[in-house]
Amino acid sequence: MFKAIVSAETLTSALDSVSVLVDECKIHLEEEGLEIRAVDPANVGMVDLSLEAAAFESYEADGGLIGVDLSRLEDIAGMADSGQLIQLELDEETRKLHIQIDGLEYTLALIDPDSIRQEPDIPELDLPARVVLEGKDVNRSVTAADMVSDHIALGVDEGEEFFYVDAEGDTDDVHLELTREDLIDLQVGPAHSLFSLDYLKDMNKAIPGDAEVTLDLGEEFPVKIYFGFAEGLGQVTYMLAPRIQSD
Amino acid sequence: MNIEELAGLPPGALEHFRSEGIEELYPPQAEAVEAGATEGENLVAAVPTASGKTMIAALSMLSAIERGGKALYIVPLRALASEKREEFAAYESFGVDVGVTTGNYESTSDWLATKDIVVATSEKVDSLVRNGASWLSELTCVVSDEVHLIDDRNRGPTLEVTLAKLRRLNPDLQTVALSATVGNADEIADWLDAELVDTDWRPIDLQTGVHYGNALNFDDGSTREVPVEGGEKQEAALVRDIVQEGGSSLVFVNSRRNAEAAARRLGQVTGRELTDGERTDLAELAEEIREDSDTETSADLADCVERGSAFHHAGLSSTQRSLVEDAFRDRLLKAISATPTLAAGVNTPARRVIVRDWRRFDPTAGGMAPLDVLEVHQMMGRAGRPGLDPYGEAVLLAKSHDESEELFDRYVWADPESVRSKLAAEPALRTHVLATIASGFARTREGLLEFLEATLYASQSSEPGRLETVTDSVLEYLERNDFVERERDDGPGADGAFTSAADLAASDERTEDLEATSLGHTVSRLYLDPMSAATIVHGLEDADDRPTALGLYQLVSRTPDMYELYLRSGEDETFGELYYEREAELLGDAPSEFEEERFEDWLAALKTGKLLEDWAEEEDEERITERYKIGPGDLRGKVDTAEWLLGAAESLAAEIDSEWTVAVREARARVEHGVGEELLELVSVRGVGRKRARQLYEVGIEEPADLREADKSVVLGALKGKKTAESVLENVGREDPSMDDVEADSAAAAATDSSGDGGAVEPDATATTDDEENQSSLGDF
Repeated sequence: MFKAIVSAETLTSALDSVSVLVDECKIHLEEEGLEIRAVDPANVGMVDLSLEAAAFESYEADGGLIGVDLSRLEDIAGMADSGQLIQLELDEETRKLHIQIDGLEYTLALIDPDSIRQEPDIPELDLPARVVLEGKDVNRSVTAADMVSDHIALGVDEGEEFFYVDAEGDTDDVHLELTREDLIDLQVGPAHSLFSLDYLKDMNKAIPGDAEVTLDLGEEFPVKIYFGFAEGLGQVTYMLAPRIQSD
Repeated sequence: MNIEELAGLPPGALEHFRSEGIEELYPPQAEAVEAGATEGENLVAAVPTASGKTMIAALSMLSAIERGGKALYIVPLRALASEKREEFAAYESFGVDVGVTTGNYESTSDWLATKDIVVATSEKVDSLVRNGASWLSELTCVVSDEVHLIDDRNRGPTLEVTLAKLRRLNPDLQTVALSATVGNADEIADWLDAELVDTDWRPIDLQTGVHYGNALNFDDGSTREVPVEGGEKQEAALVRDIVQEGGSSLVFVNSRRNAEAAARRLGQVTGRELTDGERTDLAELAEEIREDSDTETSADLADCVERGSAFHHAGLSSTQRSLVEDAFRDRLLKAISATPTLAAGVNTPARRVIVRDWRRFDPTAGGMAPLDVLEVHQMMGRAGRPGLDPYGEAVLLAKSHDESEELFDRYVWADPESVRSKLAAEPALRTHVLATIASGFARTREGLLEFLEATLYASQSSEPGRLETVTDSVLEYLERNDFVERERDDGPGADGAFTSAADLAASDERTEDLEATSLGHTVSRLYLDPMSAATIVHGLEDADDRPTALGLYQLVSRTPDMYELYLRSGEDETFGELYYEREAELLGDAPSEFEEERFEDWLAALKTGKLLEDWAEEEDEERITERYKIGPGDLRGKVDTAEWLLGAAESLAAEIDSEWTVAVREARARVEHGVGEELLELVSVRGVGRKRARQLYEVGIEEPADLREADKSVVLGALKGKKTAESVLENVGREDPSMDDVEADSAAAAATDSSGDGGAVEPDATATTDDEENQSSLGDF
């Protein structure tokens, strides 16, 4: 059983943060809310999303699992204005999702969850450094780096205690330093890793500018990116594997 | 009736009861005494929960002991055994000894012979009978608690046969059967030649009803307003309402997960109603729970408890369970959400009982099925605690007007079902007929039939001759599989080739001697369904080459003792393919594809067997549960059952002199630990599970002896944590296990960091690769 009413804004934020990595995903319809975990086919980026029942106008579920084509569901959700409500209801018999937006009824055929990529185990990593900053600073870093390079280095200077972003292009370079004053919080630790901008750009799209974003970093280790949406009732964790630096 | 009027109890018993505050017997108790409970008369007491059934049992047992006898109290659940022991332990003050026995099916527990009262589960009593415990013949009084469970498909037949056997062992035995109010208590009384006390008297008024919208409608037509605020669940509103009044509530749900989720939500309600003193006490209680174990369940439970709510299900440790039950009885906890295990007798009354889920997943129905009336009434009976609550309320929840009406019809107005014997079901009869022969209870076919005539099944069966027909076909089955030998007293026609009709008729009256073979004895002792044993024996006999693990797993999955996974749509193809790939490994005669049903069962067993193989090949627990769409508890259940069946298979293999005993033992050990063959030695070290064993193996530590000699930095590198490494080394008996000043060996750490497919990215390997390959994968970490 699954029946929920949710604002279009909340639903699209949730879907967007997953669709930047995968086209199809499994959605766990738990009693306490929705849960999605997915990893991209190359096993480089992972997402773990939860959206509490309280983020919905109304929510009823008893622990089912459905598989959805994200782009189609996003298209439908895109039909609603941001303030509008979307009603979702699962028909267990036909395995279809009925979606209603102000009189518009749409029936979405679901995908057999078995045919979707396995959900990942989120690796337990001990990452020594933590940077907490505003979403718009993430955006600024990524956009700037993208102008010169395909990669971006994220790191923490332990001595001077600042977080830095480096991008080296063939001719031009970008460097950005954010000190404690610019950041919301900083836990200093040995951290320097290089990441693919392709992935980071996509993840950045899903990060709201006013969100408080936490980055956990290590040396040549994956980065964990956390942020909340829907007034903190939704939580997204991304994990991105580093590029191995050869010298 | 005043307790002063009671005669025939041991000296000191009356003082004890008085010190408990008992002066006057409840009407059902008085009725039981009048019916001869204290004079050794058989008695069936069908009275509501919490109306003093235990007192009836106590009076019967104590008077039997005073007459120089010995009493047995049969409980349906282990949890109840300890509760009863605590209750009866107080009798030791006036010289009555109490012993409890629940586990270990193979012992005869001779130490119990010296006890006056023995508390045991029905399975334990059955096995005591099978193993011939001599003190059983000294019993003069047996109490069967919750005797209506005879209706239970799985455990009922055991209770029924056990009672019949005890009564046959001791013809003068006093039988006292305690039952919930059921539809046909008179039939049970007839069966046991017992007096009947059948009443719905309760010490406190119980109102039952249905909550719908903002109103609680009761069976007597009265209503109470319990408004549901926006976004709030019905049960939350009902809990808040009664907590504000000073009462507590018990919420019944249909699964463990739901119990946990409900407790978390109810905590938001109860948390607001606590006093500062209660908060401090609860924080202490939460701390005690956290200390008891460091599992996620215990952390979740502690979090709930801090806010005055708790969940209760079979997944809790016994310490946690009793902490929760005690705190609830003390009214410190305001609400418990529980699975129906709590309804089965454990004494935790609440002012308001809320039956939230009245449907539950039933695998035999293939979906959600409504609960029995009896079960719901048992839950409802938990409402109202004498002395503390002015009344009790039991509430079902309806989401619509129609559902409200349905609930009234289905549960509130309805009478509980009748208890029907389930003995005639073939697996039950097979098992019990063999046990009856093996334990020497019946040595002839006639003796067997005579014994079976003494069961509830015979007294309920309206079809004459049916029991005989079924018994004969079971006997034939047991003989065909070499579990029993039948020797016919040769009738007149048996020596000639010519048989007349008269001879055939006469042969109906033949006497036939029955004896269990040595294999039959083993099967009975192992507590196996004979059909499971036959399947295993045939499979092992059929194996020409050493059977593979998958072959053995599929074999035990085919037995009726293993509840196999069923095939989902489309899976017949998947597993059909697997079948053709690995056909040669499977043991026994495979059905052809044209025998559709048998073939499907065969594939379903293959699926279960494959699940066990995946587990024994060290697949991740999570990946398995995902692949087979089962819960972690189900995986555990399958593994435990397989372990037990393979253990039994090993005994059977030895019994039939099969050469594959070692193969079976190895397959069992692999499934027990969930590891490949090469890790079996390592997992025998305490503290080393399947994952750690693999990590050690990867760095070249292949057996426990290696752990004693290996470089500590390598061990640390493989096991990561210093504490873990130290305790493992200590368990393996290394002289100096300390890990102080030891640095993890980086090569060892790296070797075990890989995701198993050799995907560890070594820095020098990537030096010359192109851009694409510089990207590492998350599996590398």
